[in-house]
Amino acid sequence: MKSRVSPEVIVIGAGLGGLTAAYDLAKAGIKVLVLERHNLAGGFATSFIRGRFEFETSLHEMANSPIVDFLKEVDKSLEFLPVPEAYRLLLTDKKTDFRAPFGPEAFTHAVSEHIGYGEKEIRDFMAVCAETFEAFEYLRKNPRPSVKKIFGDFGNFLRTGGAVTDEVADEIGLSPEARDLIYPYWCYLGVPTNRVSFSLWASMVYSYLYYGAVIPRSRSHGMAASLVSAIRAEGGEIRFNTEVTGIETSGRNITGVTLAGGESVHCGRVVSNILPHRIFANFNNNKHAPQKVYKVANARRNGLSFFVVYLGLDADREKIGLTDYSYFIAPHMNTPELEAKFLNRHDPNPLQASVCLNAADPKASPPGTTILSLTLGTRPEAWSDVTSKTYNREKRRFAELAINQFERAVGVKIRGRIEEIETAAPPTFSRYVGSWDGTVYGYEAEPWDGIVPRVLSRNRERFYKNLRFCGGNASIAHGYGSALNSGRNAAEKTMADMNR
Amino acid sequence: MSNSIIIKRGPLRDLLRFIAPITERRRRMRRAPKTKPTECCINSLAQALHPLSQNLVIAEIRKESPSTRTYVLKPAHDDTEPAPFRAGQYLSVEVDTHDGHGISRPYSLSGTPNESEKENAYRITVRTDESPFIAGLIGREWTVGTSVKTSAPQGFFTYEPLRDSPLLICIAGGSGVTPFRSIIGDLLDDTESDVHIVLIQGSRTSEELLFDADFRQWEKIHSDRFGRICVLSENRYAPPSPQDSGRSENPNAEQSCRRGFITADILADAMEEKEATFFICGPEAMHTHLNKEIASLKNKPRRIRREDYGQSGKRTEEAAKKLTVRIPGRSEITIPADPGETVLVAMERAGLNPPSFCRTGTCGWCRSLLVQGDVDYISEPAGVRRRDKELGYFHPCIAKARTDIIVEMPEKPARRKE
Repeated sequence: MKSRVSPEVIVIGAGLGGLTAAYDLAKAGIKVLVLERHNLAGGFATSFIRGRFEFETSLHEMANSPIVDFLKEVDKSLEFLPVPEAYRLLLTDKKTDFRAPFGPEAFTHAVSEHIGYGEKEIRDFMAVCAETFEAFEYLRKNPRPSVKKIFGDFGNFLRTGGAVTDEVADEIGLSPEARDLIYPYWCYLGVPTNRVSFSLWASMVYSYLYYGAVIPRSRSHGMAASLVSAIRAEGGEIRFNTEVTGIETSGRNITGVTLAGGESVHCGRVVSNILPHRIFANFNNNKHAPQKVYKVANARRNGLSFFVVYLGLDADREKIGLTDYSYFIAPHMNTPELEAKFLNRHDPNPLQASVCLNAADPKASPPGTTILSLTLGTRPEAWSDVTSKTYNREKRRFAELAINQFERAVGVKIRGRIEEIETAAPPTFSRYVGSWDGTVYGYEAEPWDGIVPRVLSRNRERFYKNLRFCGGNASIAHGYGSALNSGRNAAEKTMADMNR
Repeated sequence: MSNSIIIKRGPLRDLLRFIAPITERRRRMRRAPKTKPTECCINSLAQALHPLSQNLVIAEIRKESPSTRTYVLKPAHDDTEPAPFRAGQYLSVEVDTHDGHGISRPYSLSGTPNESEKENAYRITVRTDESPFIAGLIGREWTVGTSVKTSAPQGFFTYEPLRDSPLLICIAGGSGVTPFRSIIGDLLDDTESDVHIVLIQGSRTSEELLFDADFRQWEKIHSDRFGRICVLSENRYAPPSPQDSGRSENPNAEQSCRRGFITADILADAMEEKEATFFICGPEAMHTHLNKEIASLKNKPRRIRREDYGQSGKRTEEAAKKLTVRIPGRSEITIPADPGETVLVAMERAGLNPPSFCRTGTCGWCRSLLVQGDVDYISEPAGVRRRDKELGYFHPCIAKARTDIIVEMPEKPARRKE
């Protein structure tokens, strides 16, 4: 079947970034077509039902930042619920049990109190985080920033721009004990503190502490479904079950896309919610892209994937003893060592970030039941010895390991209460999202691939003039809120490209 | 701002520090390989596990009972392996009805994963009849060599040791026993498993008692872990007909079976006052009957998991409703919908090729938006997400048109052209 009028912009992928891009474009009166390979929008941010439980796909909470207000404007009926605390940290080797509250002051106080010394260093470190956060806020609000203001107010931001988190902690003299308590959010970026861009890490941590976190009441799927309705209401078109398998190019322009069934759709511009790796390696219709395009992709390192155990439990969380919403569980907080565990599916004591949804939303599941999800970082290579025949057994083994670790660390009994269980591993993400090697996070944000280098190199690294990226791979890196913001950025840039 | 400046430096050196990562970035990109990036392993694994569809061919047909056949389905190409499955899963099978439209039906896999691996094939066991419907069509037309297109294995009617009790009681009505042959065989194959299994196999007559020989053999070999109670609802003895001589019909089958329906007493016998998980698969009437029997049990099962048969509804004499189907990016068409049949069936009759797997409202593959009008549900729409309910999404496989309706449905995904 032939498509009728060509869209002005094709958005490849209806992940959160693709959705907000499409919404802003459609709202500006641009003819936009979203092509999504799955039958649902949201990408990784979705939900699924087993029995009487609707599960969030993973650990999804976002800072209660202006993007939440934007979503409420898109759909007034969207509800967000506050997450009660930043996290509960259980370091089993050290017997650390620490509850981190939201609010920079409360957090700083709680860390100092828990350790009992080194308050000045903790305050200094948090102050540099605050400065970084505020510098990004200033830059976001002021497309033409004042150099004088930056040098005057954000000196630490400039000086730490090339640093990793450990270097800043070293310079300030932050104690190892304080690092244990302050570092846990590193797993939201998946790059250990000896490699992660301090700027990105600090602004991420601080924005959670400053804004607090929220979850959408109707799961990520509810949010994505609202965006789908809103895009269509603004005149945008979305086609589901429609996989893009090729891009058509002419010189430095993209002229259209090819769909799995062979259909071609022409367009003026493309916003890709798909990783550049995928676009250039698989979508280029077997034509070689220019070397530059491959070099830009190959220099970067793909982010983490996950293993998730979803549990529908047949008792109230109080009865089970699940007092908290968010649990970080690990033997210690030596982040490079924890990262090494991502390569080993059999490590009995990995890093686990687990969430009891009912602690934020008492009505998350029917009365007398609880939803608990256990999330463990993993790398595709850790699954390279798994075949299609051993896959189910290996998933069960990993699930058992995660459940055992949770039971031991939290001191509760989960087995015997499991009414529904489901697991997701890298092939699951590959199946539903088609991501590169089943990875979930975008490119690793080391200092050279942090936000500032990404933004300042954007034009230099672009080869196709009418192609913009959004999603976890884009300039503001991955994350629930970042993905939403990235789509809005891509829409803005695309409109600028179109002189709109 | 903060007074805890880390190192005092002049503005110029601050700037140098700030742009150092950009220099580093350029260096890294200059040195990066200029070849196409390649993936490690995950997408090929995902493809092998979850192909969009599978082209199979019937390699063998085995008669299980006068009305039931097992079809052995091998990949159409020798170098392909069937996607692996978990015992208890089903395939959604596409059947060509010759009048310009294809329809699909879910059929449980009756072979065990081990058998499948050994034979490089799936087994599905189908009750056929003389009707003009699917069951008749399969019985008449499927022969050795017939091509059959199916989905990847689907479904959640699987035994999960992390969730289910170590005493599994499988309750089957008629051809509802098909997934249990796979589930029980698979558990017995696993020598490390200590799950005890009781199969309560309900059937109309002894000659319709499916997989009787297999179950007898398993009872003998695994007497410590597996037992079976047969319950026949029709109290008559039908000797095997001469053409059934190939079957290992046991003339003692009648004697060892109980009569009537599956009662609370039978369930209690099977449970022996232990904690048990019930798996139930059979016709709707059996589920309704069992609900009452289970309610009267003193020792309740820990969990009950059910596999429903896919439903289509029944044709009526009533005037058809107008069903307008919008497929974004493709077409909009108005077709008739019998108010007694599901919206999915109406779309299939019109040759719209709607996506569907389970036909019980659970898998969500036919998820569509009800833009206008009302529908009635054949069964509880439990598989619809909370927000979807608010926005008007529904599953056409369990919904009948009460009024004229407008539906927005996604197109069926196209197989990637290699």
